[in-house]
Amino acid sequence: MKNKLSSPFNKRLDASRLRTSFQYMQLASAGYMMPYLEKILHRSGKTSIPLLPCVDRSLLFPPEYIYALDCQGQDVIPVTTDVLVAATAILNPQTVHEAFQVAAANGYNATCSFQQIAFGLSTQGKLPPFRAGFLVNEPCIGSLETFNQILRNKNTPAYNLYIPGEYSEEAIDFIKRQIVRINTQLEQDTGGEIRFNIDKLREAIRNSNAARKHFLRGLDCMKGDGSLVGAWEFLNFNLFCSGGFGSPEYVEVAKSFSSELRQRRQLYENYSDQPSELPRIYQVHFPPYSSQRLLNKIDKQCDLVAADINTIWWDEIQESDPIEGLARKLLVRPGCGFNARERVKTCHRPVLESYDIDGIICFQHMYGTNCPLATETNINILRNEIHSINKELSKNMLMEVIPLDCLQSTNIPANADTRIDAFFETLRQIKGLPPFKFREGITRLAGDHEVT
Amino acid sequence: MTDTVFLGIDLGSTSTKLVAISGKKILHSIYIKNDPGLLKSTNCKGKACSACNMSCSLAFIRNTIDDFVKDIHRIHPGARIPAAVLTGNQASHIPFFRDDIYSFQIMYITEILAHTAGVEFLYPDGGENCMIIDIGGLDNKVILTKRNKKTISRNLVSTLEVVDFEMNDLCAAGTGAYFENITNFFHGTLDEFSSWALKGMRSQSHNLLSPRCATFANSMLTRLQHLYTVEELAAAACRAQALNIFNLASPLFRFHDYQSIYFQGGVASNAAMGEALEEVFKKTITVPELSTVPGMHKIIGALGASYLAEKYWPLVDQNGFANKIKEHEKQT
Repeated sequence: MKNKLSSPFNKRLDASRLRTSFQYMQLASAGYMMPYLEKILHRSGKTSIPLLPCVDRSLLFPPEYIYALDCQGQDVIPVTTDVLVAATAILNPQTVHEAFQVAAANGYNATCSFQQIAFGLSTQGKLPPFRAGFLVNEPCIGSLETFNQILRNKNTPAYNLYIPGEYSEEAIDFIKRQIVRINTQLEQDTGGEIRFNIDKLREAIRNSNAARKHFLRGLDCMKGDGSLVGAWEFLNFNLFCSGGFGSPEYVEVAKSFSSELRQRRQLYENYSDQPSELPRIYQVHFPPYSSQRLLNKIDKQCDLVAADINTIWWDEIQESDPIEGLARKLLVRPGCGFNARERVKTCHRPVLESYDIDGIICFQHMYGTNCPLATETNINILRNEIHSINKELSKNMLMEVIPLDCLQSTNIPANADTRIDAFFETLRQIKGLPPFKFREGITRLAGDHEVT
Repeated sequence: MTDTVFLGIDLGSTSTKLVAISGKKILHSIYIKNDPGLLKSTNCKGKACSACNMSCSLAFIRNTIDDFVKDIHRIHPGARIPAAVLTGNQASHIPFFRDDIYSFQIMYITEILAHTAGVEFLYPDGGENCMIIDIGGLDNKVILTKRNKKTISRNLVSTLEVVDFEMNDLCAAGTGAYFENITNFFHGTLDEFSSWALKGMRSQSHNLLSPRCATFANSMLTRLQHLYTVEELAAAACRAQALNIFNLASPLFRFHDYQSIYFQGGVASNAAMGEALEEVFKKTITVPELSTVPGMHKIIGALGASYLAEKYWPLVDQNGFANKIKEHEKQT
């Protein structure tokens, strides 16, 4: 039987695997984030790599725009604060606990934990010296407000982009006008130090499209049987690399990611003779970064084949009018369409249909209290969508919503384990498999061994 | 002929339940309340090392299982126990089960599957689809199930399968712990609470208490105790929690039909809670009972576990096992 434990390339999570993810990340971002991580993790205040001019970027702000900026002949580097926060939670939980306390002491105690940690790190002086901040109202208005506050506290100019809920020509025009306004304001605020360059934007879009193509080719390999990537590797890669789209280095990373997956697919096909018995899972929203145990539990029991934080599923960006191209990208698929009902549908449906999904795990970050994706409305839309796909395709997909906190290990409910186990038991049952298998031929009889 | 006996062990948060079955017949069962005082003396990190003279909480579990096995051998001399299935809140956290200290194989399943299997065992020819509500010490579970025909070891059997389930997440409101809290407020026992609530159900005590936090419920009771009788307040607590369960179940029955509701777990002993559930779900509630086994609704998880052990044991290649039996009989 082919399963994850016997497969040669599905290694158990260990430090080397995490390092591999970070090597990818380092490559993907051309080394831009490692100095800051080093600073946070070693608390030295000094880094071994010289700092490049960097700006704060919201997770869903198009990185192509930032690669189009020019800072006196140098490229400007987007630092995605959410990613820094997630990386810190994985690598140094102690720093995260301190950041929570600092944030609470400053009144940030009841908001999203990503924002709390970012605020704490910023107050402790552990975030990089940003030249500017580029923020967007997706995934949530709370993040827009908190990151604005963080930047205001450091007297750093912040530029906000508002994405309307519906896809229309007026909405595209609205975003285009905002981008043009940001260009002018940025030049004014920085005294011409940072300038927007339309040719660089065209080049960034070319790079982004090329990287996208490679990624999609790689992700096509995930449509086949079994899981080619461990849950952690897959998720970290997607999250940490999201800021790389637009850089030439990232095209190379995407190329190697794609060829790696194709090689794994080949190896998998040669290695196995029976289809995988594990359920194919689509993951919605961030996983519990703070709990390796929980992620390992999920990893062992399923083939994780798709995740919504994978920010690659947008249409090719048009080069002829690059600003309009960015506007369309933002409107069509900014992550998972948190604020627009229709977009929640259009984001998930193609994945559910084409990846032969058996079950969906939705992590309700912050128990759904402060997270727009995890609201009952969005979850109900997803439930309805799953129900209608089940009816249309005669499938039996199941969704499990697990309320927890992605970054605070102490905020994971005691019954999360039972929920996960029961979810996979049910999926096994749906696939017609027994809930467990007794070992064969090694049973001892009562009396063989004296129970003391 | 010697019986082959299968065990179901349900290690709940507040009680331990064991059931032994053979040929779809319940041979023996026990229900024991856990002693929280024993927790203090656990210092062996789960190895059940006997350094505490077997008086810690882990030793309690081991002793309970050992005594139960001895009882089976006493009642049914020559009985063979090839396998047991373990379930319950504590089950996956007891380290000594991994040490292979028992003479039988032990497998683990969740309470969701165990409770579903329990209903399948008791009602093999029950209605089409049903909902199972299990209210335990610290967990609420609502399970939606459907009937199916399946071939297991060449026999076509009717099975009850989980369609979807929901559990409480942040809050233990509506669980046994909530009712214990309210009972303590009135300085009564759970049985007394149940009879007060049953009397109070005749009154219109709707929407008096919040269905959420048990601690806030206490503070509300402090204010309401001067305006309402104990019976009315006890019934209000049951109605509040029935509403809680209804909210929990709502994502399930939006997409799936069900014909009947089985209500089980420790809280099912409270008849008023059953009535309150009937009020909100507008369906007849069945509390599983057997004349031969008193308090059946409390041990359904363990029953389901033992039933699954018996059901899936034939899937094992039993040559090794058969040889072992011969060898064993030669020696004895």
